[in-house]
Amino acid sequence: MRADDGDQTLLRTEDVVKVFRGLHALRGVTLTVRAGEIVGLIGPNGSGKTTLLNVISGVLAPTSGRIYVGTRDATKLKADRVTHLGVGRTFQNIRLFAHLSVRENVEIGAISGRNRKGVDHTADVAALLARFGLGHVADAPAHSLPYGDQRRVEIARALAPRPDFLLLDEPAAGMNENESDELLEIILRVRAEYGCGVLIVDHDLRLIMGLCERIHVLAEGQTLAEGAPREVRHNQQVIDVFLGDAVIDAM
Amino acid sequence: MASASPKLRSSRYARRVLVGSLALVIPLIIAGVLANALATGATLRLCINFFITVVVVLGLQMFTGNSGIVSWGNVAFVGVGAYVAAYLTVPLSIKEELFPALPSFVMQAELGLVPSVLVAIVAGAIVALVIGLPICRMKEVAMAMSTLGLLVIAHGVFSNWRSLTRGNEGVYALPSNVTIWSAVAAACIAAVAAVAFKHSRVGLRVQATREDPLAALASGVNVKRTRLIVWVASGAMSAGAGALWAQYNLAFAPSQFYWTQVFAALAMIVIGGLATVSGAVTGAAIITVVYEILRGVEEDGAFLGIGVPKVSGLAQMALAVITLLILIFRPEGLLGYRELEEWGASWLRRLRRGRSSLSAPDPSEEARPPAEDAGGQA
Repeated sequence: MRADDGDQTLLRTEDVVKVFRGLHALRGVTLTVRAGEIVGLIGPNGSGKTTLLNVISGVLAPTSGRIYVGTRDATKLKADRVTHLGVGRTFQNIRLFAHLSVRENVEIGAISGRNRKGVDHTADVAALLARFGLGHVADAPAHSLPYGDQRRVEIARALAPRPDFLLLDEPAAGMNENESDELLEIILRVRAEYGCGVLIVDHDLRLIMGLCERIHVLAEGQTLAEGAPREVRHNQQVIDVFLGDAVIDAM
Repeated sequence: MASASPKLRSSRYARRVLVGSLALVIPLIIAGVLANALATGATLRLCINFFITVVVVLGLQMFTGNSGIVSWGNVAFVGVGAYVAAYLTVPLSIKEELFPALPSFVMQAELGLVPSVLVAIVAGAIVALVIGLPICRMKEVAMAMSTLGLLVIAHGVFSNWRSLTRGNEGVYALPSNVTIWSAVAAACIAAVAAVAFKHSRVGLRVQATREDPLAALASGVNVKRTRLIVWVASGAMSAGAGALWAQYNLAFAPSQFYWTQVFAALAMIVIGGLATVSGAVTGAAIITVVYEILRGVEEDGAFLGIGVPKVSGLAQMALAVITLLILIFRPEGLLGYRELEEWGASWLRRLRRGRSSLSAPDPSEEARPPAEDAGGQA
C-alpha cells in the first residue's frame, strides 16, 4: 500500500468534531501536517489538544469530520489500522510495555506497524536503539529505565515501523531544561533522518518555538490561530486567551 | 546502519528458544531418568502425573501468562481432549456399549497415543476457535468472566450429554498408553512449544497487550486477533494434555474437569510466576510435592511424626494459603518476569562482579515488582 507519490505526504483533519456526552471537546478543527514538517499544537488545558491527537490516531472516533492519511480516509479506522497507514504516536503519560525489554518494546513496534516486506527487523531495531543511545540498556526491562530514557524508548517504538507522521503528546512533560533541550535535538534528528512529519503537543513553549515551523493554537476546541511561530506569538487573541504577557516576554 | 542480515532475527530467536528450552528440558529429563531409576509404585505414578500436569499447566500459561487474562476455562479443553481420546482409543467392543451415538468412522478408530493426542489437539483448537471468536472481542475482565462461564457450561455438557459422555457415570476402558518416557517427552515438547511461542512475533504482541492494551493497539497490534490466536493455541495444548492424561488415568468423570483442577492449575502458575514458562513448571513441581505431602498428612494424621488432627481438605486449604501468601508478598510469582536462564545469567554476572570488586550497576539487574514503579506507568 506504500507508495512515495506526492499524495501520501499529507496528514489532514477536516472539520473534526468530538462530543463527549454533550461536552464539545472539538468544535470543527481543520489541520494539516506535511511530510518533514514539524507542527506545534498548543492551547490552554482542556482546549482539546490530546483529544485531537486521540481522534487522529484512531484511539477515539470523531463525532463528525474526516481524517486523511495521504489519500487514505482514516476517519473510521481503529488505532492499529491508523498505525498501519504510517502514523506513530506517543502518550502523555508514557505507556511502555513495562516488563518487556527495551529491545522487545521497539521490536513490537517494528513487527506490528505497517507491513514492510524484505526488511530485517532485528538489524533495524538494533540500529534504532543505537541511534537513540539505548544500546547498552537494550536487554533491561523498560520500567527500570529513568524517565528521560523511557521517553526515548517510546519515541523509538513509534518510529520503528518508519511512520510518515509522528504524533507526540507532551513529550517534554516532567522534563527539566536540559532534558527538554535533548528532546528537541532528538525530534530534529528524527525529522532529518526519517523525514516524517511531526505533530507535537506541549506546554513547554520554549521547546515549541524552537522546534516548529508552524503552530496551531486551540482554545475551547476551536482553532484560534495558525501560522509561523513569529505570527502566532504576536497574535493579540493568542496573547489574551493563552499566553499572557509574562510568557511572551520569557520567549 | 548495520547491514541488513536476514539471518539476524532468526538467529537471535533460535538462540533464545534453544537456551530457554534447554533450561527446562534438561531438568525435566534428569527428573525423568531419576524417577525411572528410583521410583516405583505410587511414587512413580506421582512422577508421571507431575509430567502430565506440566503439560496441563503450560496450556493454561500460554494464554493466561502471555495475555494477562485469567482463564478459568482451560480445564474445559482438558476435558474435550480426554473425551476425544476416549472416542479414539477405547477398544471397539467396549466403545459400542459406552458411546452408541458415535459416528461410524470414529467408532471404527482405534488409535495409539500419538495420533490420538494429535487429533485431540486439533479438536481443542476447533472448539477454542468457536468459543474464542465471540469472547476475544470482549474487554479483559469480561473475557475472564466468560471463561468462567465456559467452565460451567462445559461441565454441564460433560455431565448431561449422556450419549456422548455417559454423564456422571464416567468413561472407562481407555488403554494404558502412557509410560514415564512418553510423559517426559510430552512435558519437554510442551515446554519447547511454550518457549518458542513466547518469543515468537505473536507471543511478543500478546505480551504487549498484557502490559498495555492501548499502547499495543497504537503500536499496530490487532489486540482481538492476537488474543484469539493465543486462545486457540492454548486450548489446543490443553486438549492435548487432556488426551495424554486420559490415557494415563484410564477412566474419568466430569467432576475431574472442574473447580479443584482449575484452582490447582491457577495456583501453580500464580506461585511460579504467571509471565514465565519456567515459572509454570516450577509452580507445578512445588504444588505437586506440597500436595502429596499434605495428602499423606491428611491420611495418616501425622506430620514428621507429630500428630495432627485429621482434617479432610487440608491439602486444598494449604494450597489456598500458599497462593494467598504469594499474592501478598510476591504478587509476580516466585520467578517474576524472568525465565530460569535469565536468573542464571544474572546470578553469574553478579558472581563475576563480586569477584572483580565493585563496578557500575547493571541496569538489567533491576527486576523490581511492578507495584514500586507503577507511578511512571499510570
